[in-house]
Amino acid sequence: MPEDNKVDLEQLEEGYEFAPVDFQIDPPTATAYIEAVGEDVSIFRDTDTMPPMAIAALALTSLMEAAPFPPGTIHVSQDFDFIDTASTKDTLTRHTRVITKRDRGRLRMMTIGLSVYKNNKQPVLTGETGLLLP
Amino acid sequence: MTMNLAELKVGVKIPEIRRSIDQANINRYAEASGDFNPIHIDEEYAGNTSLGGTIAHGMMVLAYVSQLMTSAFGKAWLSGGSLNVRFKTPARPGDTVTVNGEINSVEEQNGERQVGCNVLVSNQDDEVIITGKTTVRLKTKGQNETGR
Repeated sequence: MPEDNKVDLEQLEEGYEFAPVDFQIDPPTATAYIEAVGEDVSIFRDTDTMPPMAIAALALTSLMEAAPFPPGTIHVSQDFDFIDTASTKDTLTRHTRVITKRDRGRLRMMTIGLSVYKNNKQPVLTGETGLLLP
Repeated sequence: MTMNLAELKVGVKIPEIRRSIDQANINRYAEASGDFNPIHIDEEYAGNTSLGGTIAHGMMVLAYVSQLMTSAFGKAWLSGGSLNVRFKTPARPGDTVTVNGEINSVEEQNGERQVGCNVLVSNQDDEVIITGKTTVRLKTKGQNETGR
């Protein structure tokens, strides 16, 4: 999965938008995900439809690779709206932006907005991720 | 097996799911998701943080919530579901987590039925791992609402 150019944490002000990133989840990766979480329903086992949480997880991972979140960053909250399914054949695009950034003592809280589209324009999911940075 | 129309009433519990978590699970999830944050996979690193040891990825445990909803609502969850959760306590290797859901609202609007649920993931000591709410929109006209 291609990475954004990394930015400095201090550049991540509210409203900052990361460069969109295209990615695809190939069948071996989808299978590895399904096995790792013990997903066992025919929708995923017998078709190339991906669990929505697989799409969300891989989109978030690509964000974590692109953003300068330090080791020890903890995921504290998560919202998702699952809008449409996607398959291993779809090219997915991740859009992310900083929604909130607050300092609380020695910790920093950030909320990141995430949207994933398939084939350029069809929305697959949207969400907000709450992070606590050391 | 997805739930029937007649079952969708406030107070109805969704059949729970239970998962055992060990370091091998967590490592498999790290490989599959590409999330190699050391708090999940590096016991020495994690042991020297305030966490005191490795923890499961929040997204891994949240995947179990999505599984619960998929088992109850089928395809309707995949393209009409939403969730809003807080991660309260980490799940750790050795934990057995139980995922519970209970319908807390059923509303009909514009040919759709919107079903709200409270969801809770807890460990073997009844510590809350994840708490939150889910909503799923079900078509009530022209198709089987849970997509079977």
